[in-house]
Amino acid sequence: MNLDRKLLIIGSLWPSFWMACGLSGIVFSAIDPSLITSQIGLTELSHLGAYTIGFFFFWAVCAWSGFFSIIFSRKAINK
Amino acid sequence: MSNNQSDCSVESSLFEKRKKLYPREVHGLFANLRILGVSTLLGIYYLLPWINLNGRQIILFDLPERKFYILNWIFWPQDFIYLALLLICAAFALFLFTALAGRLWCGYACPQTVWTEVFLWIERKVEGSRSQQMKLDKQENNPVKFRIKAKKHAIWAVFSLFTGFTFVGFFTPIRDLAPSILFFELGPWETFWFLFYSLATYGNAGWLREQVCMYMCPYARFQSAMLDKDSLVISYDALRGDPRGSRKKSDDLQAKKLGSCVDCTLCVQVCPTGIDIRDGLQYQCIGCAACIDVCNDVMDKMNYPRNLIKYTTENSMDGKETTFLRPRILIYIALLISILSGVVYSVETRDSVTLNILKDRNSLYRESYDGTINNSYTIKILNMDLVDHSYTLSVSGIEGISSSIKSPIHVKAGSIIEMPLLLSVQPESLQSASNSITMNLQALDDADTTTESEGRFIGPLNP
Repeated sequence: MNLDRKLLIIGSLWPSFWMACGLSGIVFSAIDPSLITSQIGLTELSHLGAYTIGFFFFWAVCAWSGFFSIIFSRKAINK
Repeated sequence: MSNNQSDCSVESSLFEKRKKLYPREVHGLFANLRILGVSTLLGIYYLLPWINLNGRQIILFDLPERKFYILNWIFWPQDFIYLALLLICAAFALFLFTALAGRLWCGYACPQTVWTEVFLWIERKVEGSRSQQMKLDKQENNPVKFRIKAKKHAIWAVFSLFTGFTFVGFFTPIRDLAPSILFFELGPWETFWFLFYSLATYGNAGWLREQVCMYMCPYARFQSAMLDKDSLVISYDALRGDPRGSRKKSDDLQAKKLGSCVDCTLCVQVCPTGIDIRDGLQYQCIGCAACIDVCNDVMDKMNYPRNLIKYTTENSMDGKETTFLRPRILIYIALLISILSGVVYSVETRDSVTLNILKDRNSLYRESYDGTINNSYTIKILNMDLVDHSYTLSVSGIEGISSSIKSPIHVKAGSIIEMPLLLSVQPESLQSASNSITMNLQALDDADTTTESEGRFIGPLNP
């Protein structure tokens, strides 16, 4: 695996994992995620399932943001 | 090392194919301290979920019920501030210990170090010493090599699975979880987290190892900001050690123009991140002190004074006095003590019951056939105590106000109940369209268990 790809994966997945942990703690202490999942039709989903989906949602969003930050910052540096 | 140089070295090392490290086994004072740290922390991790207090798990993060049980306390989502404050305390503790004694956390207590130590120990037990491991890896694939490798990975996998099981046991009662796993009755989400955490342990401690510390750990990057000239760091005494070179025990060092370092490279061989401490302080050094132990062994064998590699401070190396109680240390200690004591005081004195009043938004008020004005509400009572309670609800603020709830309200320990409430008032008692009322909840069995909540009673514009 070359440097670019390695940095892209580590740089987007790893910090976003910690962000997802923090966000899950803050957001889910205010909102019960199963209230949201039941609103979108996932009524059969257990509480643990709702927390899990919430955590991975935060992780994905933060990773997505990190991914583009790296791409754009690199383009800016190259210019 | 400057930031630019450091970044360049990280980038160039990321280009390279990873060379597997074979840390040599080491014995000595710091190795024993590390074993003590690893055993204590792993003992706490693996045993804690099995300990019960007052009929329930001593630590249980009950996500479905949205309650965290820790020792004798129950924490609710609204207590998140305590978790935030505890995390701030943990951060200050990390700053304090780093400023005092360098990377104590990395070398002795970080989960990555702790689990990697166990995985390395298993690897040594199965594959043998460092040289035997290197020899085995150099061999072409053969049945013996396959058998040894398969055995190691099987033990790693079992250990990882047990770690994953314990992790889930902090969120689901572990005594129920164990039979569920044995009889394959585990729920899908518990199974997911069980396998996810097991895989994370296996990957991080078995495969990634030092790469986590070198490329992924953010703490390694900002630790230099916490170190100063009085912080303990592991350092090689170049004045005493150089020029390095091999020699016989009986050789005269002055005649051979040699320092104390015999250049045996054992300090590099024992290093879990594969650095040479003789090159100076590097961000990859996790402060495990394995190099100190092994170097002291060599010094003993050569009859040289110990501590060629040692815990020291930059000031000490420059011949200056080391000050431990410096302003930043005192500030860290003061902040740590004040936040921690504040948290403990606040937890101990927090209300054991809360009352929330939600006014019905569908109608401001209703007038009944006998002329009384009615307001409807939903009340939520949260019993945060460890015992059941019966409460009485009284309402004040308007003369003659009456409540629809007459009988005592029974709420189980650690439970929340929600119920409708209708308040009625004679119109002549109302002073204005919006009137302030106070609801008081009082436990029947404990005079100290009481809470109040404010609300509004709405009436006609011209009562």
